[in-house]
Amino acid sequence: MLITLLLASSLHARGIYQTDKDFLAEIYDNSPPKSKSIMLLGDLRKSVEKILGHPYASLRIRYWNKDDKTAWILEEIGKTEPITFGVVIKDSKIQMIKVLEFREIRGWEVRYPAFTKQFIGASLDKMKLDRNIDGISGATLSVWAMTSIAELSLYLDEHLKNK
Amino acid sequence: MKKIRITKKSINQIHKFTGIAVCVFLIHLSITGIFLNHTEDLSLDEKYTASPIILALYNISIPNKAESFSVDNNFISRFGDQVFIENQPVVKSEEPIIGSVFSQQILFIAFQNEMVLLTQEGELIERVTSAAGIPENIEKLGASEDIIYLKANNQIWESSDQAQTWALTDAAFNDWSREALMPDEKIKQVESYFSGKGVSLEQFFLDLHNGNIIKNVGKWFLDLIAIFLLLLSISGIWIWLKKRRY
Repeated sequence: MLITLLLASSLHARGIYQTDKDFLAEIYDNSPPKSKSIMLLGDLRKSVEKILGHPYASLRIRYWNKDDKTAWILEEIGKTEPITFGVVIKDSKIQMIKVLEFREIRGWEVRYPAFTKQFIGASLDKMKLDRNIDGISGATLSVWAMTSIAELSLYLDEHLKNK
Repeated sequence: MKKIRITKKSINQIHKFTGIAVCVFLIHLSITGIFLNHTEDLSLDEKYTASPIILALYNISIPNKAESFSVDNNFISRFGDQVFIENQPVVKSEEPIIGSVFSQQILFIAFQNEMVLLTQEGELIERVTSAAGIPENIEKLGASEDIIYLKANNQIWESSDQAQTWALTDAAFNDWSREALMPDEKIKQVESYFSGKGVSLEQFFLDLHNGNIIKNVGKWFLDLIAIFLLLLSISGIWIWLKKRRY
């Protein structure tokens, strides 16, 4: 019975929590702008690799920009599978960070607002978050993935402003 | 209380029964043991088997080929949820491949609700979803020079900027990407991704010898055989001692 319950909870943890479309509709009041993209080339690619500790999964990153806020849908590996995050940046600070899709069997606790609220208002200080993020026991890799994506989205937002 | 008497007859029966029971197993142990004893002489560690039956014993399964397309002399295929360019794994998708085209030095692979863009070397450029403006329920994919065409919900969409933006079109495009028969040789190359070289004969004989080939059942079976061997030895000594006494 315990095994069944554990299995059920891990299966329940996997899945799409919010689609990309619904995430953008929520941020931009059902009227998202057209997407734009950045190619990760040259120095930008090196900086992204430095933040993540490895190259990003793709060469092109999509973003949305309207009402002075940028939205990013980014992926980072938790333990073995990619986790899809949605991040909103306004005034160089994180306004929202969410798990959109979780594919691992452990570490899904990072989706809870009680954890993600630590990121709200965070900005970048020398390519790192300006604050410490408290971890979650048993979800260390997911916490690291979310922290890396928070830093990456802040860095890319800064890159757009300096372009 | 009834006393349990150990008689000569009962010991003889135990000896006979355990002897027969372990006989087959001892033959098995002897043959596999001889092979293991000569692993290097027979180069068993360098020989591999990819027999489906043996691979199944090691929980190595090869998914069936789902779809395949021929693009620019390369086969784009999906086995299970793994998509390949030739025998190189590139992305995963549970949705079937709708079509694949090569244009502007980019390989486009369309699935029902997303499009994957790859470099010629198989590096992922982007996974484009409906959030990025691509239509849902993609039915067909095609390309003409630098323009990519999609058919979705009986409407034709086009993109001339490497799938960054899409617009409805009235173009009478009809040169859609079609599935292509993948040669057996190419299928085997992809299958080797899942099976690797297979299982080394040394590993196979070792697992046959120690019972690991049938997982935990093998362990318990070996314990049973060990108990039979103990009974065989003890009953044998007992019979021998009795014979010496008379």
